[in-house]
Amino acid sequence: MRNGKYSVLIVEDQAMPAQLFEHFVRSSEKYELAANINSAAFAEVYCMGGKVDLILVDVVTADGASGLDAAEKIKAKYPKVKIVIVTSMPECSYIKRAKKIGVEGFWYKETSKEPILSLMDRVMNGEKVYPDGLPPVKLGLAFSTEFTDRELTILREITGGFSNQEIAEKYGIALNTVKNHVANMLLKTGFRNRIELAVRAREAGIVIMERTEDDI
Amino acid sequence: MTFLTSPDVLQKAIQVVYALLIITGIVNVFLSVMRKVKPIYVVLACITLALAFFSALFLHWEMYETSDGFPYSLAARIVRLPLWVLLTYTVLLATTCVTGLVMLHFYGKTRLSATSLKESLDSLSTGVCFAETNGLPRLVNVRMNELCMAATGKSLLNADSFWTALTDGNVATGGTAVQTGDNPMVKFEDGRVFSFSRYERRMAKKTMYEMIAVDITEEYALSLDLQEKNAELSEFNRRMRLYGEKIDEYTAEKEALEAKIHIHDELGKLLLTTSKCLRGKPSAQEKRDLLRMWRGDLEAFGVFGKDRKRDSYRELMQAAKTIGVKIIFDGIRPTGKRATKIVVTAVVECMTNTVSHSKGNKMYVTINECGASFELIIKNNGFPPAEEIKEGGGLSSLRALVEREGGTMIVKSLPEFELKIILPQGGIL
Repeated sequence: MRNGKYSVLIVEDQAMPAQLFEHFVRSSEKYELAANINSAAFAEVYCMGGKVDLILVDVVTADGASGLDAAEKIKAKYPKVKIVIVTSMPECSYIKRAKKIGVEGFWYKETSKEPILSLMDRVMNGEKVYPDGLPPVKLGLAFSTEFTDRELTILREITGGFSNQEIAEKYGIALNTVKNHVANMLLKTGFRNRIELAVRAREAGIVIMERTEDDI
Repeated sequence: MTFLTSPDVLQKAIQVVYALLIITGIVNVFLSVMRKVKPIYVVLACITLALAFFSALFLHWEMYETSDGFPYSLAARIVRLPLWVLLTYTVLLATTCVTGLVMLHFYGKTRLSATSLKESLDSLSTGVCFAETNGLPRLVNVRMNELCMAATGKSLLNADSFWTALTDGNVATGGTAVQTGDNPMVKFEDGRVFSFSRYERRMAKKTMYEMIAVDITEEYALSLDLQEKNAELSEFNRRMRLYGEKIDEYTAEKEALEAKIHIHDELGKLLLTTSKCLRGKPSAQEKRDLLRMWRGDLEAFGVFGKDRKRDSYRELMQAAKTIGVKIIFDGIRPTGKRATKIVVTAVVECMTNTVSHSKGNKMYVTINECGASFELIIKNNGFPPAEEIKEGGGLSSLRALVEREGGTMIVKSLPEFELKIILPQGGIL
């Protein structure tokens, strides 16, 4: 904290949200801007200077750099730096991983009712602020909260363009098990085929296939 | 009483019985030979026939009873035997002949013959052919012959030639070879598809080939359907991968729209606040607060239409500056995304080590093109490593990234730290 203000690092590759966060920070009396950067790859460097108290980081940043990966590194080396993950995607694995890493806050850009500044205040006061659950997203006739973890895992792989056989081999399960899960999801959503299921799921952001490091 | 002294009627009856026994004996011999029973039974049938024949003959030779010598003397003895002995012998012989006849009759019904085997094979919808190694067919059913005729225009006279034609796909006359090789498949003009297979068998100390032809018309249609669906799915998977890349643009647009809506709402509130304020008599503080809010919203408003221009190297330099590190670049700076990512990741990794371990404040980054590859060398000032560096999570991840691009990474610890990465160019720059 310097001059009575907490120093905030914004890591966001999209112009609009980045400027909006910067606007919130500058308009607040409690916070000042440390830097506003595109890529989570540089977040750790800013923390090295000891001038960052709070980081607002998106899950997917420029050049495919993962905000969650950066958060994990920073939490290990600079545990006093508080981190809030921000995302617009209701992908279930993000919040799980964020909790596992131990970040202090998680904020859905579109659906969180709490303003970001209020969440930042609570985090800096020592609270851990997470949404009560995943934002329920309508997918066909079902909500995303109606899917089991395994179904979401398989759905994620389908959106990544993997065949049933590849999915079965990756997770060491039978091919028929994969097919059954797909059939259950089609039954729940009312979609006609896996193509429709995958496209709608990806559009809704319920599941997002993590890009490999060379898929920039 | 003897045969000679018995009534004429009885004598005639006995002779008729022997005549019948002769006929039965002939039938038994014939059946035993035809049905290929064990030789002992053939011999038995012959013996009973011979006994019946000679018995009938001797009983008929009573007119030669005055002659001496064999067989007249034997005949003379037989006809002088007590009648009960002759009758007992006759009954026994008759029982033997009739029993043999009945057994041979049922033997035929409980054993397979070559004819029955052929008949049963002909009723199969599967083609069957047993042939010798030189191709000579030993057993061919009707179906297999039909298939050979349909495929080659000829009857199956040489199984080896037929098999060669199938495996080579030479079935021009009446079908299309959909698969050649060890498991040939042929689609015939009537739409049926047959799968042919051949097995080596050992039978009666000889090597034979068994050829089978199975109707797989339905399965073939399903497999074509499956191939089509798999092709569709592969295409779908490819498009999903592409879609996955484009969806980020869509998400960015969605987020931008949300932000614009937010700013629009904020402006709306601000206008109402300003209007209310101006109707009253705002204090100096209220005016200052209002101005600050307008300034903030107008700043956000000014972002519309701007692209967040990215320059990874500029960001890298700025990040280094915040921790008091100066990066001195020498050589080319790759613009390709993958190469840029590797350079940035490598420099960031070395930067943290420069500050944490070497206590340095300068980094020297040299990037050169060397023929078909490019070489990145990173050094720093400050203290050299005290011992060989053990690669931790950061350097290991960097190595994995480099090797995924087909490159190599060399970490030198002594006498001074040097990180060298060699990457094939191949469009990566």
